[in-house]
Amino acid sequence: MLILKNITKIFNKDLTPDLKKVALNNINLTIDEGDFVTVIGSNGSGKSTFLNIIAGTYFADEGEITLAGHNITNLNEYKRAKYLGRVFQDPLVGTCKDLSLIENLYIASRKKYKKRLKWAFSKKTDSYFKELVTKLNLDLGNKLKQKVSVLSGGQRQAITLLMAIMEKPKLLLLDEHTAALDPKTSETVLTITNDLVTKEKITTIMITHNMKDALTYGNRLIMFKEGEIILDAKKEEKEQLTIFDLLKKFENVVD
Amino acid sequence: MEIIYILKDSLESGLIWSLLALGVFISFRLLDFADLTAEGSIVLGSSLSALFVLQRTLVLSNPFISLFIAFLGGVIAGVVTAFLHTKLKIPGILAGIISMTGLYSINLLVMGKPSLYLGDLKTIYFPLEFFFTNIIIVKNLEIKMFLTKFLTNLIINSFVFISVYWFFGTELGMAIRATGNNRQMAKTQGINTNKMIIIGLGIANGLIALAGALYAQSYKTSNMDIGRGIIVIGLASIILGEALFKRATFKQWLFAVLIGSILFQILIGVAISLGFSPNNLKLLQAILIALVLANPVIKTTLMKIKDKRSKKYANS
Repeated sequence: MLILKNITKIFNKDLTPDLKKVALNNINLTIDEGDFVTVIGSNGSGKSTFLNIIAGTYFADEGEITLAGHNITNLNEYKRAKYLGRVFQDPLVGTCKDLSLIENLYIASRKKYKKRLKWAFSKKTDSYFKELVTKLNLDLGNKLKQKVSVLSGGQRQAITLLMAIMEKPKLLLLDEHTAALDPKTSETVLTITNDLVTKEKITTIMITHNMKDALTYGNRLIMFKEGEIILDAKKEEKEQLTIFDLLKKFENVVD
Repeated sequence: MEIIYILKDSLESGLIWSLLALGVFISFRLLDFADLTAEGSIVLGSSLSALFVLQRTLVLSNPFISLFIAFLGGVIAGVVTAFLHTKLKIPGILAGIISMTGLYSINLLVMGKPSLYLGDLKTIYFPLEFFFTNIIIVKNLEIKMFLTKFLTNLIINSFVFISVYWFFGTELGMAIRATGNNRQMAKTQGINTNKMIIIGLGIANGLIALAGALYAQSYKTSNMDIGRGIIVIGLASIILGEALFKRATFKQWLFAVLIGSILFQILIGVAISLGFSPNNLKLLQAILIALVLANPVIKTTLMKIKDKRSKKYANS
């Protein structure tokens, strides 16, 4: 499904060697269809760069990325967006605050297609999107025509998630998408995430700083350290992992 | 009596500057792009329009076609600025300044001299003038001219505002609004943001040039000076409209821009009748804009001063 081959990314390449930062060092990784991968690692370990390279925010300095048979290594961010769904840490980034909820949803529904000179709305689209947001159980059915800026962070994050998977992406990228929310909202959004992802069988990569969540969700766990993958636990191996194991792994590397 | 004249003039000119305000609205508000091309594209519009009325030898010489050509000229100016910004990576304000500077020479080239006069040639106001002279006869010359200009401008405005409203409700228009509102979101949703900036700035400057063309038709002149300070007029109209009307939906926002433009012209008319010379007026406009834009900072500063004072009183 997703194949990363010898991916290297270096920041501050033009500066002196001591200021150079190797964010990703020769990463090789294959993720299978239907996998739900959780990613952990300390700050600056390369986990966000890893996600940004897949999304096309940055281009890799070396290596090759293949997604569902397409070589996307040099594809622009907006062009590869049709294969991807993405939710950011900041709830404000995923939606347009001055556009109405239904306009945001409509834009997401046309993600894979050419933007036509066609009036977007009708009774049919209204009821379609209403049905879609009602499924979230966040009481958004009557807020379709309102600007997204009136919604709470949790609601906006749930909407972003809905928009990310609406067109069945080949791969869903979640970048600490509950980190900015309060514990209860965070729980709700994670539950919605898990429901949607498992029901629609979407291949997912979820970065989290919460080790418990990393163990609870998904069927594979990856740990980053200094630009390298230092732990890659699949299925049974992952199920046997405990927070204690993860902490030990963290410390080992520090030593 | 004077107030009636002020109202009459501001209704006429307000419906010209409303198109300018709409263009400025699209670049500054919808695209979040401080586009200075406007100062050049409005003169481009007025000079192209005047040229296509004056040059009888030109194939397309006709006042109505001249509006269309002015619009196209503005679109090209906007596209050039957008190209400088998106493809050549020049910062937005600088890209606008480059286009504006280049347009100065182009406008002189189009007109051949610093100003053009249309004299008695037929303008876009001819059909309605004919109507009020021969079919429904309005005897009073001033009322006739007012009705002619007001209604013609109103018809053009209605057409433009409805088209713009429709356009920004289409898939393409929504993609442009998303680009201006949140570029990261737009890219994530597969929108080619560079292309959207190019289309958006093209339309914005097309409308600004159209305002210039209407100016040339209405005042029967085109000159190099009408562009000066035009962005401030556009912004002031938008801000005035936004301050007075709520803008919960896109439709209301457009309406606020239209009414704001007319109200701003009334304000200017009143200022002039109070004895402000048009030369001092620019300073007044600049101060007004600065005050409105600085409003949030001024408010918090005043609050802090108030707080300090009340604390002093409490202590003493």
